[in-house]
Amino acid sequence: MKKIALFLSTVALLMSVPMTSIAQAATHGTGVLTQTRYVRLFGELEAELLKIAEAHDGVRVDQMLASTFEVRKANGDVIPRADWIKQMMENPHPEHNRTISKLIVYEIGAHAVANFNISSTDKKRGLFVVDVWAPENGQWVLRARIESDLPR
Amino acid sequence: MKVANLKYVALSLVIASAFAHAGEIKKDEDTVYKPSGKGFGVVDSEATEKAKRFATKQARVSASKIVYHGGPVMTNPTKLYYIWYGNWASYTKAQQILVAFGSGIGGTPAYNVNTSYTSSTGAKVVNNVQLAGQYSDNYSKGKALSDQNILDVVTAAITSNSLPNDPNALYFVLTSPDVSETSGFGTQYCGWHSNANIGANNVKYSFVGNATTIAPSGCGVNNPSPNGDGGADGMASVMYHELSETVSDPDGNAWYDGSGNENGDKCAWNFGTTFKATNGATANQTFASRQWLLQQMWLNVGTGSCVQKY
Repeated sequence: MKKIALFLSTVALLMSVPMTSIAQAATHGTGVLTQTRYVRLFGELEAELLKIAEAHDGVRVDQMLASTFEVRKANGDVIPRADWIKQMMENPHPEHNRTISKLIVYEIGAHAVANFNISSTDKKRGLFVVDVWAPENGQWVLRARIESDLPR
Repeated sequence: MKVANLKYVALSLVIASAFAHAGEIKKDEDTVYKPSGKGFGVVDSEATEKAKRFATKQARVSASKIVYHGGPVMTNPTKLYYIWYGNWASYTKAQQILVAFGSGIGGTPAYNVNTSYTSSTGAKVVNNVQLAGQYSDNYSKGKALSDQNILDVVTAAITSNSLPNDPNALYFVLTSPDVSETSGFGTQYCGWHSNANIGANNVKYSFVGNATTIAPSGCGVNNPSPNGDGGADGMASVMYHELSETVSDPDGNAWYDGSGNENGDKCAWNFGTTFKATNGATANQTFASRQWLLQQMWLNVGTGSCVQKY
């Protein structure tokens, strides 16, 4: 079943239309903000996750994910840690030119919960994503990723 | 598993790549950004079009160097007005700390960094700041404030003649730890500055909340802190950030870089060399008979840099 899923994912990828990749920041109603440390920090961590995935650095990806990491979809499907790492190593950019917006980070006790929208430039597809980061042995690790479709 | 769902297996693979853009803007050579209100920039369509059409060295805006965009700069002595919103009566220690900050920041080597910013006529920001007045607001808009509520609070303080209507001032709305700002306090930002027409004047105002409850780590509430109150000490650094941005870019059209970052944004959470305060906390500034941990500020000299003093 997983092989079929991967195959169909690849097909979906090939069917996707390349678009230019430019992130667009949402605007605030009034003024210019002092960004929180956490928005900055977790932006950097996610950038690192991208970078090491591009470099196929499976060792570092493994270090950044909690041992219990999983991706959970709104329909209940779960992508186990090992499968997600495998996908990242095989193709970290299955679709190009996505836009992230509305990134916020909640500080909840020792944990940080980042959430944002990710959508295609043509706005025809999009996800709402929640990332849960946890401190572990002096570093932040990604504990879980939860995502669902954005309304069209 | 439906094919439609399986597409999101693929989508999940690119989420991390999208994160690379979190908090920053990916740009091509000619795309120009201006402050967005989210701590990073949005595309300035007009400037971008111009830059792309006339892609010369002169037309391009560096992403790192801070650039003047022609708008007004506050070159007169700056007055501060504090609006204490919420319950501060039982939190007088924090008030004392922030009053000391407002009374003492003017004339310091730290604030002198802002004198490296000039207006269209070449006039410099002056190293002169005075805490000129204070006003208390007892939850007139409740405990969950919108951006509009913040402006309403400032407007009410002025129109009631509780505070003067002063175009050469910055009005700080300082909220107690039990007050939230619903547009993203603690999850996106620790404070912000803006401007609005009130009466005959273009009034500059800023929101800075006490983040002890909502975002102690995200907004720099340290323990110990130089003055023994992490919430107030954290607010002081954010107030320095907003004050410096206000005098150099009061209307959002003066000094900022190609990514939309103003002078405070470029050095946010960058404290430079620190020392151990008398109470054992980390500090990097001394004025008003107190020690402080304030972020560095962008010095607009040469190619520019983050510095503690000038």
